[in-house]
Amino acid sequence: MKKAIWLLVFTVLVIAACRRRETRWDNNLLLPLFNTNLTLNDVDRRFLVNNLADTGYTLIYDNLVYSGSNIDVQAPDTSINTSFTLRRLKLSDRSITQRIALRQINPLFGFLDGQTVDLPAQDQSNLSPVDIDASAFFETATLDSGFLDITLKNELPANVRLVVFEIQNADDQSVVAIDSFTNIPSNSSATRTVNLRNKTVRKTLKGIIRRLITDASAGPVLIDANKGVEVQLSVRNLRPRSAVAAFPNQTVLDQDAGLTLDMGGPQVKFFKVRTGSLRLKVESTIQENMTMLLKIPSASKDGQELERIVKLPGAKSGGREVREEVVDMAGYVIDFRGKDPDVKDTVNTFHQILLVTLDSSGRKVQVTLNDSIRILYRLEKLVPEYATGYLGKTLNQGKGRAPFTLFRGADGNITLKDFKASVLIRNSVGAEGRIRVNNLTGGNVFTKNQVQLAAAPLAFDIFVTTPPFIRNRFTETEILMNSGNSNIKPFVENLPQWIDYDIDIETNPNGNVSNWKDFVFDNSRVDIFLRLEAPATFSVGGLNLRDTQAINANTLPNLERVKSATLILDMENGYPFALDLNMVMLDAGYLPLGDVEVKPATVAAGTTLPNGQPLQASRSVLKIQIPREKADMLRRTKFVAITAKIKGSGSQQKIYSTYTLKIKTSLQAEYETGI
Amino acid sequence: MRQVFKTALFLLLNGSMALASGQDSMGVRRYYLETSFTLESGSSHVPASVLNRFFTGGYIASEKIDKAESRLNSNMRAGVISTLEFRPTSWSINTPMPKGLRPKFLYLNVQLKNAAGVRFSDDAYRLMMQGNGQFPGRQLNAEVKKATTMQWQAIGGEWGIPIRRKYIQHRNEYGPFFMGLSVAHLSGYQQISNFKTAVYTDTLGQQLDVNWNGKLESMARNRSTAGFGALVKGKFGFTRFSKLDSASKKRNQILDVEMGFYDFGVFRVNDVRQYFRNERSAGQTVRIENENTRLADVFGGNFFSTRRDSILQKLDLDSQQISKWVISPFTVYVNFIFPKGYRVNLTYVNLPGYLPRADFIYKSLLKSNKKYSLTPSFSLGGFDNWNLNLNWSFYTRVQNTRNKKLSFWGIQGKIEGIEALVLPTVQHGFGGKLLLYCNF
Repeated sequence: MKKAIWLLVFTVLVIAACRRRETRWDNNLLLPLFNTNLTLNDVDRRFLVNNLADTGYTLIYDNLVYSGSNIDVQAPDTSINTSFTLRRLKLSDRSITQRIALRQINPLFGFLDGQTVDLPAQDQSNLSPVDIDASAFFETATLDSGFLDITLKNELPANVRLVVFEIQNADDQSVVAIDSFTNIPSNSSATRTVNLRNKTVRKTLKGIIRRLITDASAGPVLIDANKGVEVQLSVRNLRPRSAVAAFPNQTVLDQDAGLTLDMGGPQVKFFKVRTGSLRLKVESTIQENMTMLLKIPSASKDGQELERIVKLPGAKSGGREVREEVVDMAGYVIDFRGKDPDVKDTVNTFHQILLVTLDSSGRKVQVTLNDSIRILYRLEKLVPEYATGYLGKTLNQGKGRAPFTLFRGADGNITLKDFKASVLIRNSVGAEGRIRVNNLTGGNVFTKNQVQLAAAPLAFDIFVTTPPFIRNRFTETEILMNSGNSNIKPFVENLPQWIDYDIDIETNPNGNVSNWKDFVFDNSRVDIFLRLEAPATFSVGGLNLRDTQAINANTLPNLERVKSATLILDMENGYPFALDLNMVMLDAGYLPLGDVEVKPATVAAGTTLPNGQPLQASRSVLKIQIPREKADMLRRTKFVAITAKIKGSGSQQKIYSTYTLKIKTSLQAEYETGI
Repeated sequence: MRQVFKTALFLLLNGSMALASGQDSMGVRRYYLETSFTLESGSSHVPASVLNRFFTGGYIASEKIDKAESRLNSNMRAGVISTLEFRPTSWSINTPMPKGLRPKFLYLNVQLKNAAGVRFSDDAYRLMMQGNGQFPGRQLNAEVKKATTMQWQAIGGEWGIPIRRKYIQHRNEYGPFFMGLSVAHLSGYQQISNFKTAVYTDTLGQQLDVNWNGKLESMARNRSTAGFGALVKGKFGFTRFSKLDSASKKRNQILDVEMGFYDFGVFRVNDVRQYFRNERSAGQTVRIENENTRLADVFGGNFFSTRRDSILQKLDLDSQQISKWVISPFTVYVNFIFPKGYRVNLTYVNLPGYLPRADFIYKSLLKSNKKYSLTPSFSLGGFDNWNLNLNWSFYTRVQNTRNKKLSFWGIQGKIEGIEALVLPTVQHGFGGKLLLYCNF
């Protein structure tokens, strides 16, 4: 029985331990890769000089050794973020008038209305309250500050000796004001001022005469029961803590100042924006309409200053109203000379005006000190198209390796003779410069030979001048080299594929001699070329063009899963000669791993007119096959050597710039996939 | 190795629990161990030799994939279900059900399960298995109506719940009502819904037109705690008898019926990544052409990576991470057992591509000895359209001479899809079951 148990246990273990392998199969993928056109138009026309009418060309070849923009004008993101509260708001000054008639003071006078009698002296207390409608002021307000002026006009035919007058809120009988007025002659008035700080006032008030003492009339007088004491209430300088009211138009924020930016070194006077934006955002909890005006007089485009108005409707009760707007700043020129350059001409400072107003809608809305307005405006990601000013005195060191492509892979019957060479410095930065070439060394990847360029003219500093302030304009400084002053011939005959360089570039070596007239465009740079000039009329018979490209296999996804592949080249050849193609895979040490088969191996020649002008391109579909047995080779490939052998006629041929070789490629791969 | 360790741990833990508590009503300890492995696979059109690699793993030769080409149609199904179960208990088949209505614990149950099912079109097969490179100048309309894969590990118990015999007659060893409850860890979940992809490749592969719509969901596999859930099972059985025979004074059984369900449950999955096209791009075809570039960028740079990114960018896919409840691919069944061993089993599995299945089981071909059985059957539905199957079993008793205890052990097996094994290139899957048990 134990055997049976162990059998069970063993079975479970075996089954459970069976680790499932990945299910794999081969997929056949067909994907478009890339297309490219090879024409002589791709070569800068300045390189080709037609020096023999229609019979030949001079090839001027500038190989870029170093290129750098030594000036980095930075426009940091700049924002203004302002928030404020009700303390900046106010309520209107208003007045209301209410009369307390004689019949309200003493009903007896109602019976005597219209009669002429002696008016006896009166001394009454706590007369009946009189309703006062203060809705013209506000619905209700709790005041941080403000004043109430109470004016009593005595319309009685007798002097008023004393009036103690009290104003209450009708709903809770809380006292708003109480004051005493003495000795008010008939038909004259007296005013008392009450401080409303920390008081809550509502629209329904009651006026109460707590005590009224009048003198007796000098004799019989005509009793007019409708006359009495006229009460005038005036509010002024109200600053509410909270209020339900119709707020008047008012300015709540008014900024007019210069704003200075850190440009990262350069002192900028003007700056034209290539890309960037201005982001405006207004948030308000106030239940009244708002308007924000942002004006940047320093920024203009087509003669128009940058101005934006953002309207914000009143927020709902307890809510928040937000408006956001993004302004494209492209094309704006920003004057960084400050708020008023005629008074104070500065740098890196622009003038901005920010005005926020509350627009009265006439509605009575509730506002408290908790209500706020938040304003954010932000200049974002400003990239200059150009900037002017003083670019600063900077020193940069350029050190590295540049490809030298003129002789890349050429091993045919090219004869180098009658060539001229120079170091050409092309400066499109609007500042003076000083350049020192410490080292130029050329290397041939095939022969491993390296030759350092030794040239007497390069032993000294090279000064470059400022181009005119026009885009794409530059100055050129050329240092000629020949066999007498350099080893340029062995340097070139080494057929280098790369050049190591070590160059110092100094901007404004003599300081601010331009008086803030330096400039830099977004494409301004200092380019240093090695220029070769040679006749371009040559025999194309048997010429091999060879190109070696590095393959960065790390960027190819799952290359190890590619079992076989076919690169399909759909070629339209407008050149009047056929090409034989060959590809050789190279490992990291440039050692051949084997060639791959190209079928058919020949790109047919296009047809031309008798004078050599192109007539019609020929189409060839070539397939470069990497079979399964060579898939491992593909995985180990670091470089690909492409050889195109021109099958020429052996006679001199002209090359027209309208010749085109169009290549469309796609990849068919047997690709192992799995889940 | 991890699997070995995990399984050994289950054995030690659960086996010891079962062995520690066994005592039957006669006062004699009884122990029962059962382990089983079940596999069911099939497809309406995909050959078994292709399909089963998705269970067993390994390399599928292109020739096998291509041979299905002529048989494909626009509405295909495929799926694989595998279950490994280990059930130790102290229960013995001789133990009578307890009196009253108290539930009786029967088994511990440890389960490892994989389930996958899919409904798809012929072009989906072509695009996935063969690739667009075999179909230049043609548009492939790949459609996956629904695809689900789930893997889980569960542990739980199973109970028998007696019912008064006056209500029900039965002869089921588990009792008239049987239920199980397990907790489970979901280790894998993927789902595809309404996936429609149209790919046109021109003759030289210089242009691809791609339209991609649908929704993909995948649980992050690197999150071991990504999904948990519970599973239940239940079974109910009854017997129909003929009227009392006055002569023999016996009732004759005319039909046994078993019905139930298992692996019904829900999982909470916390880390599901969804991919879908957004409202802006849905339904739009994007064109991928020969990108105009310099040769140096192709060889020296990250051209292929950027190309891949540009394709995704053109398709404008959205993705989001969600948590959701997932219903397990449960099984519902009804078995009719007739006298002399004839059976009809009806089964439904809640998986895409699984049709309701009927098994027609013949009686055992071996009549004389109950220790052996060999039972053929024919089935309709499931992942396949039809299958020929063969069940077999061996069972023996062992007399322990020392303590006179009677023990037994047995093995049962089932081979499904014999036709697929004989003709591996036909569009039938195969399956089987191996169950080992012993009682001592």
